[in-house]
Amino acid sequence: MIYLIENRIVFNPEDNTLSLQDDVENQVSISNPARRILLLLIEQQGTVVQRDVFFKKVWDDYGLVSSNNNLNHCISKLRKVIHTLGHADDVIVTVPKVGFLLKKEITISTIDLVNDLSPLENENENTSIESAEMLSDGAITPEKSPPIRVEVKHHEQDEQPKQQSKIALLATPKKIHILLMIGATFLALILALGLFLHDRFYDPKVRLQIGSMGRCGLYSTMPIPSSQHADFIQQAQEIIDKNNIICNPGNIFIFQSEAIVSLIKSGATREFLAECALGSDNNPIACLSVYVNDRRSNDNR
Amino acid sequence: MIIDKFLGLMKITKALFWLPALSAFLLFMAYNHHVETKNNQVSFPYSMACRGDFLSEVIYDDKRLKMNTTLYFSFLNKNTILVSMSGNVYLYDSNNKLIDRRILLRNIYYDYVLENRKLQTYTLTSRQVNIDSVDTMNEELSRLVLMNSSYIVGDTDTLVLKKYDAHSMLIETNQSPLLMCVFQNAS
Repeated sequence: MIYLIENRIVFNPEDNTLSLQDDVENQVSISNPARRILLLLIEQQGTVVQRDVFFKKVWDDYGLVSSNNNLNHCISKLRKVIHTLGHADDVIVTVPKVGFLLKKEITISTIDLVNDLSPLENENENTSIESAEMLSDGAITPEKSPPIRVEVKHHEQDEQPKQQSKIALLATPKKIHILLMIGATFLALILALGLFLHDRFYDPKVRLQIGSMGRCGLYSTMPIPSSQHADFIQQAQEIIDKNNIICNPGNIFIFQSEAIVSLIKSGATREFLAECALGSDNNPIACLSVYVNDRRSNDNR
Repeated sequence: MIIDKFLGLMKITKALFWLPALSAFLLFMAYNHHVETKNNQVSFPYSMACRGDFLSEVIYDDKRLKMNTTLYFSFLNKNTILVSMSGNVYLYDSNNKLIDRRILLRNIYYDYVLENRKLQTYTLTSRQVNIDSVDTMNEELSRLVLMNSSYIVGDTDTLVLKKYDAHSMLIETNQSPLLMCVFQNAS
């Protein structure tokens, strides 16, 4: 069972934490004595709990040494935590030389811990709790707890279902939010992995491959429109035949001709062909480049 | 419910805090790596030299020249490129009769300027041409088969130095590719 203080601060005695209802992931931990003090204050809400009662039920019953200093320190800590969680008013009032009390005006309600994500199913459950069950189940609290009956008072009992509906509505988007965050995280991981793999295995010359000449791949030095591929391959074949270049299987040809990119014969037709032997990583290890510059006079277009 | 168990596990391991941070870190690293890789696709392994065999043929109305060379190319530092050429130049007449043969063996030191990174266009000005004693090239043949800066100190030529893949560089004029140069020990 957990408590909702002022409809916004969640007090979970099972794991000694306080948190905001709409940010349950950011919890503030408190000590076991502080937890027992807060439970006592909730039990006695509106009435003064005497210092001697605190000493006995918080320290002495657990074989611990009680003192005013310890009590003041725990109260101070509780005030600080509640203040940190955004509740500006002091919910714990000091009654000098007597003890402390939890303000009567403070709204306290309970949420069933087991069904906290679907509280609507427990709307009609009795809201008074046996705190002994909670304290003595031993899962988190190492000390053996004496039975303490805690009567939780609901100043707005008739509003409880409404309150729990609100919690239910908040819990589902929170769950979705967490799942979305996890999804985004894995997406980021996949994206990072994809980038690494792309950069590792991407070969920039792949996009320049035009076709193949026998068992040798044929590449260009620049992107060539697919409509010109046939012409490109034919011109590459001509220079290969003319220069008696033999395709050694596994090698690649890299070809470029001025005739591919120029519409006129300017008086200097340049052709380039490189035959490269590839290494195990598909990158060139040696290249032979053939460059032909035909500067014969030609006044035809 | 599986989702609830999963959420419980995420809560126990506090994964909701460190998993997004880890993902953001990995994504950042991957992006950095990607940018670096992209830059590497256009920038050269400056510390390495490249080498390529070059068969050049220039055909005129009355003559034809062939040059068989091995070319070594290296960025020596931020300002200097060294080109080493070693080979032979053959001159044929219109009847394909060999009328001259010359030996080419020289080192050329260039001061270079990257004129445009995107176009990968460089201007190379020869600062020093060290002609070996066995080099027999004359001015006429040099003029017909070499770039001016390869035999005239102080002359400038424009080249496009294009990284073709991780291991090779294409040396081009603005008109045509000339030579595929393969970086040594680039793997």
